[in-house]
Amino acid sequence: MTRFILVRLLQSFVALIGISILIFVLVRASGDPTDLYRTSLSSEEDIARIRHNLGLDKSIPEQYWIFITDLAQGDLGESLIKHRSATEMILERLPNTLSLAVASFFVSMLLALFLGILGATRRDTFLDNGVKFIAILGQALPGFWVAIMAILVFSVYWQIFPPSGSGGFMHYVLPVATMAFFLLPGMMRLVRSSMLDVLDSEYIKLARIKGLPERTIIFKHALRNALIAPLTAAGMLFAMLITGMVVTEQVFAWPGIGRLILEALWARDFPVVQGITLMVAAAVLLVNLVVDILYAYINPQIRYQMM
Amino acid sequence: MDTTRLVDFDKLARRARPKRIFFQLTFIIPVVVLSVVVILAIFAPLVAPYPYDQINMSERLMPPFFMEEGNTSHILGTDHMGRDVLSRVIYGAQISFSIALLVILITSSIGTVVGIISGYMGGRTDAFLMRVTDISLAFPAILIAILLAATLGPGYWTVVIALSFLGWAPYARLMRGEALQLREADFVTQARTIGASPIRVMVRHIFPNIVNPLIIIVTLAVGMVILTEAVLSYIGAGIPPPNPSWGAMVEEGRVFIDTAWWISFFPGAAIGLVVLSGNFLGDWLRDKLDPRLRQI
Repeated sequence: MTRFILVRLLQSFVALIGISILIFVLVRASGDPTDLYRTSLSSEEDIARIRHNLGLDKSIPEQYWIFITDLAQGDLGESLIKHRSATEMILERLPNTLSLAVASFFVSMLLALFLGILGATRRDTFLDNGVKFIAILGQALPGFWVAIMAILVFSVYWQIFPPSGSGGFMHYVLPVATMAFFLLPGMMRLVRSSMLDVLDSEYIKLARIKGLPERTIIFKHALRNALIAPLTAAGMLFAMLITGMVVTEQVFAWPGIGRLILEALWARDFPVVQGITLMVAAAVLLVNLVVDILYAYINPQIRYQMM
Repeated sequence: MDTTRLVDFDKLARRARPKRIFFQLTFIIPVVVLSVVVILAIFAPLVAPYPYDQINMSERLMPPFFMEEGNTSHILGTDHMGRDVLSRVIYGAQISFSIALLVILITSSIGTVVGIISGYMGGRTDAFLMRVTDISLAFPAILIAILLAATLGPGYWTVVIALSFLGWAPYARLMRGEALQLREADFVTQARTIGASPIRVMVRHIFPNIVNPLIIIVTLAVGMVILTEAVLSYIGAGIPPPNPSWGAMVEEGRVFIDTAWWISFFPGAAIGLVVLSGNFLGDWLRDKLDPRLRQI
């Protein structure tokens, strides 16, 4: 197991280096970043000074080395617009994003478990078809549009929930519902199909023959094993969570990191965009690493296979 | 002889019939919807009542024809600059479908090549390629799109590059699985025995046998790509205004949601309709061509 963790850790580290090079190259692929804020008034000297301040007058490998050593010290660079440290700006917004993400994740997970189990145990009934219908709609309708229509109904006509901003409990309702719209279909399908697989297995039949109550069979015997398969998809769910956060924060003017990266995008503030991308990339790798290790811990077959 | 009949065939047929009709409908309706939208997109200049960028400040925020103040000169109303919503939705289909076509061409080609090589070659090549595929699958495409939009500037080709950048991974994943199975098939072993080169085996023997699953995921990808393009245009990392991208139109209407809901509603409904049709068609093809790929 230790060896497995070490190998995976090393792979994640290599991947992180790879992604940092990729992002570094992509940001510079457009040519000279100083073009982005060259105005008709700026003299050649100004441009040269900016280039020097940004370290653009050095060679590419040298630039990468500076970039990566700064990164290792937690320095993501300085915003071109606000002239502040990007790290600071991100940390300032992090709590808002985390609170919405955590709330949305738990609400979606609980709903997905409830609806997924319901769909699997009452297969091909009216309820099951209802669950499938929600999943089909959830995968086809654009989340941002559904959110705007929700604002129309709940904030404009009925005025129950505030249309934007963050604050009290009421501010959470519509954003969390929007996030659930992104996360629920995928989660629900996973729980339902893996629950169906497990319910079909021999040991569940044995439990039934033993005469155990249905409740015990489903929650004690089936659910535990049914949850292993969705776990492997947790990495993909995390990517969906991030996409959902960016869109949701934009719709509801939620002052989080998703909103920050979009503000930086519109202002062409590339150090901030680059900083957030790197941070999220690291988070994605970390989540996948933890999931892999957890999965190997639960399922020994994987552990030996991957050696 | 009738005593051996255990199944009541009449009853079975009665039950199966509505199911079969439903199954046929999930093919016919999406095909009709998608054909209509594609034809409208191709002939947009002839079909659309107005040019997509014709501004008319005296006819701002006009409601659709079925509402009290609306009239049939602007069937779906006008936006905050007096542009005809219906015309913009029709032109928007051009952007959505051309991007979907380009992105799917690029990603399915790259993904299929990577997948077949990975599955057929195996060993270290396979381990490396699949690790890259795993990371690409786990990485949110929206971030690459934002990064590219911030450096290259938002635009048509930025969206195509951004969506293709990670979009090949699902194809590679699926094709690898298929190639892995076919590698052990008798006809592949025989081809190898008579001295066919690895490239010949992959092109002539493996590829023709994975066309079915390829067709299925290509169809399922249409909705996916259109939806992602809409998200990118919505957040300002996609097609910049005044181009009539569906996602950007929804965003433009967001500010006017309390007075003019139709600006956001119709383009969003168009996305939903097209994606729903694409997904149904994909599911139908999967059930027809390759039921083993079914998830539920």
